[in-house]
Amino acid sequence: MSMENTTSSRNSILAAIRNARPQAIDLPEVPHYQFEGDRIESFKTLLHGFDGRFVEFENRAAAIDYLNQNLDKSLKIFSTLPDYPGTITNADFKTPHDANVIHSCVSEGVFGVAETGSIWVTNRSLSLAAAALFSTDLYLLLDKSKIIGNLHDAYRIVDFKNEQYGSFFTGPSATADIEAIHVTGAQGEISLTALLY
Amino acid sequence: MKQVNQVKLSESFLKDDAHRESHDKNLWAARMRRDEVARNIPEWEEMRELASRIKMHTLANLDTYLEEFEKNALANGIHVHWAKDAQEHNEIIYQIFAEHNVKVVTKGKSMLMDECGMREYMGERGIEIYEADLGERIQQLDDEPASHIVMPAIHKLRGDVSRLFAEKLGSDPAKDDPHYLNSVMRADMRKNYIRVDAGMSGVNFAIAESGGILVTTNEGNADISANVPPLYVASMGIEKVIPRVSDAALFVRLLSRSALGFHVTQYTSHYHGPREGQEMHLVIVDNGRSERLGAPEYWQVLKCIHCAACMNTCPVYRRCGGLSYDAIYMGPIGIVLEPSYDLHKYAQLPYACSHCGSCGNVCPVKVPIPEYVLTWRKILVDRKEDLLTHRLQMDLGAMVLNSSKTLEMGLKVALNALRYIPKGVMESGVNPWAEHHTDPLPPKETFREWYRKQEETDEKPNKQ
Ligand code: SF4
Repeated sequence: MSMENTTSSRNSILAAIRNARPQAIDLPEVPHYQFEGDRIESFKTLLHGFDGRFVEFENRAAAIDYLNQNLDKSLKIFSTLPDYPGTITNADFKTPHDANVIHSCVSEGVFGVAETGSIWVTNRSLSLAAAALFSTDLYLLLDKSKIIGNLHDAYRIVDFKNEQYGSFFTGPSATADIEAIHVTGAQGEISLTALLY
Repeated sequence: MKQVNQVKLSESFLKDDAHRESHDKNLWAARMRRDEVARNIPEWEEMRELASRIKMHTLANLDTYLEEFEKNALANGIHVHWAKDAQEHNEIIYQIFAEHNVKVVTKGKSMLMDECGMREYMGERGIEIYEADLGERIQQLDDEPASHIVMPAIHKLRGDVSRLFAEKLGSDPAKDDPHYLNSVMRADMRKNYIRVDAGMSGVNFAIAESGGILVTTNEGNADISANVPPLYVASMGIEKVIPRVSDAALFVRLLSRSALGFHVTQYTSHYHGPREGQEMHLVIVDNGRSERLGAPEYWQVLKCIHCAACMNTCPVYRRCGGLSYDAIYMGPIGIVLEPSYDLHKYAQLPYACSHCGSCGNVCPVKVPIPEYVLTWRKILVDRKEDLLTHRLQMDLGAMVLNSSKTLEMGLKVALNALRYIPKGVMESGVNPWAEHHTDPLPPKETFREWYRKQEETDEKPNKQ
C-alpha cells in the first residue's frame, strides 16, 4: 500500500460521502447543564462506588505526611510530586516497558469531577503515563477546590493543545467480563487512592 | 454465501438453562441499572435528542468534518490514513508494522478491526496480536467471535472460562472464581506488555475541533497499549467523528450509562498525538459506510455509538445469545445493520425480533431500530430475499384478507380446526411456534358471529 494509494482512497471516500449526503440539519447548541448538589460529597460517593479509595487531610503537608508514613520505601515508588521524592525516576527507564517494576505511583490530579468521581490526569501531570498504568497502587493528590461539577464543565477546561494523553481515571482498573461480576485490578493499577486536601 | 439461520443457531443456547438464565439475568441487570442512572439525570431525554441531532448533522456534513478532523490530527502529529475497505485497512497497518519490524502487538477492543478480519490477516503474516480486553481475550483463546459488543464473553459461565484458562494458560482447573481468573489474565498479559512493539485500539469518538480521539475502557488495556510501546495504531469508521470538544461531554455522559448503567468508564481517555519518541497512526475506514449513508431507508444506523443498550434490553437477544447471529454486530442493531453488509447471508436476521420496541426506547442516539426492522423486511420482500415459506404465507394471507367472505370462512375453519386437532399434533414438529408456546383454546365463535347475535338480541349496541 503506497502513499498514493491512500490519497486516492481518501479522495474517493470523500467523493462517495459527498454523493451520499443526507438532508442537512443545524448543529444544535448543547446547554451547559449544571451539577446540583455537594461536589465533594458526590465525588467521594462516586469514587467509592467505582472501588476507589479516598483519604481527607487538613492540608497538603498532612497528605505528604501520610505518604511518608504509609508507603514502603523498600518498594519501587515513582513520584511526580516536588515535595515527595520516589525511589525510582524516569532516568531509570530505557523505555516505558521498564515502568513495569513500579509498585506505587504518586502523582497529582489536575481536577476532579463530582458527577462521576473521576480525576483528570494527563501525560504532563503523570510525567510517564505507563508508570501510573503499570503500578499496583496509584495515589493521586487532589486539591478539593479543584473538584468541578460535571463533564460539561470538564470539557470546557481540558487543554488538548498541550496534552497528547488525557484521561478521566475513575477508580482502579476493573472488569465485569466474567458473568458480569465486578472485579478490580484488571490490566492497570489494582488500587487507586485519592488524597484530598 | 450460506445464509445465517439465527433460529437454528440459537437452539443449543435456548436449551441450556444455566447459560441462558445467567445471560438473561446479567444483561437485564445492566438494563435496570441503566434506567436507574438515567432517571437521576433530569436532562436525560433531552440529551438523547441532542445526541441524535448532533450525529445527524455531522453525518450530513461528514466530508467537511472528516477534513477538519484530518487537518487538526495532522497538526497534532498523527499520521492519518484512509482505507476504502477491509483489505486496504489491513494492508496499511501491515505495512506500518513491517516498517517498524513489529512482532508483538497488544490490542484494545475494536469492532471495526473485527469487521476487517485484521487479527487473522496479521496472524497469517507472523504478527502476534494479543487481545488485551479480558472478554475479548477469552473469545480469542476459545477461537470464537465476540457475542456482545461491550461484554464479548457474556454468554459464558465462569466454569467455561476456568476450563479454557486451565487448558490455554495453565491455570488451576479447580478454581473458577472470577477474581482468580482475572488475576491469571493480568499476569499473562503483563508478559506481553513488557515486550510489546505496537499497541492498537478502536475509537469511540473522533473530535473534529481538536483532532484527537476518545477511547473508553474499564480495564485500561487500550491505555497501556497506547502508552507503553513506541508505536500506536488506531482505526475508526468514517462515522465516528463529532464536531466539538464540548460535544464529547454529552456523548460520554450517555455512553457508559447506556452500556452498563455506570456513570462513566474507569478510563475515559483522549489521544491528541504521539508522546515524545512515539509514532501514532490513525486509519479512517469506509468499508461500506458511505453506501449506507446514501441509503435514505436506513442511513441512521450510522448514528450508533456502540453502547449495546439495545442488546441488553432485547428479549430475543437475551435468550438466544449473541453467537446465534453469526455476525460482527448482533442483537437489534445487528439485525438492521448486517443485511447492508450482505443481504442474502443475513436475510433472516430482521426476523429475530419480537416487536417490543424496547431497543428504540433505550438507544441513546435514537437509531430508529424498530422501524428499520420493518424497512429491511420490505427490502427483503422487494428483492425476493425473504424465505419462501414467508412468501407463501403472505400470498395466502393476501388472498384471504382481500375478501371479507373468504376471511370469515377461513376464520371459522381455523377456529374449529384448532379446537379439534389433538394437542399432540399441534405441539409436534409440524407447528414450530408451539416449541416455546402453548396455544390457548380458541373461542367457539368468531367475533363477527358474536356481534351479529348481539345486534339481534340487544338494542343495537353502540349505534345512535
Ligand atoms: S443502536 Fe443505539 S442502543 Fe444499540 S448499540 Fe447503537 S447506540 Fe447503543
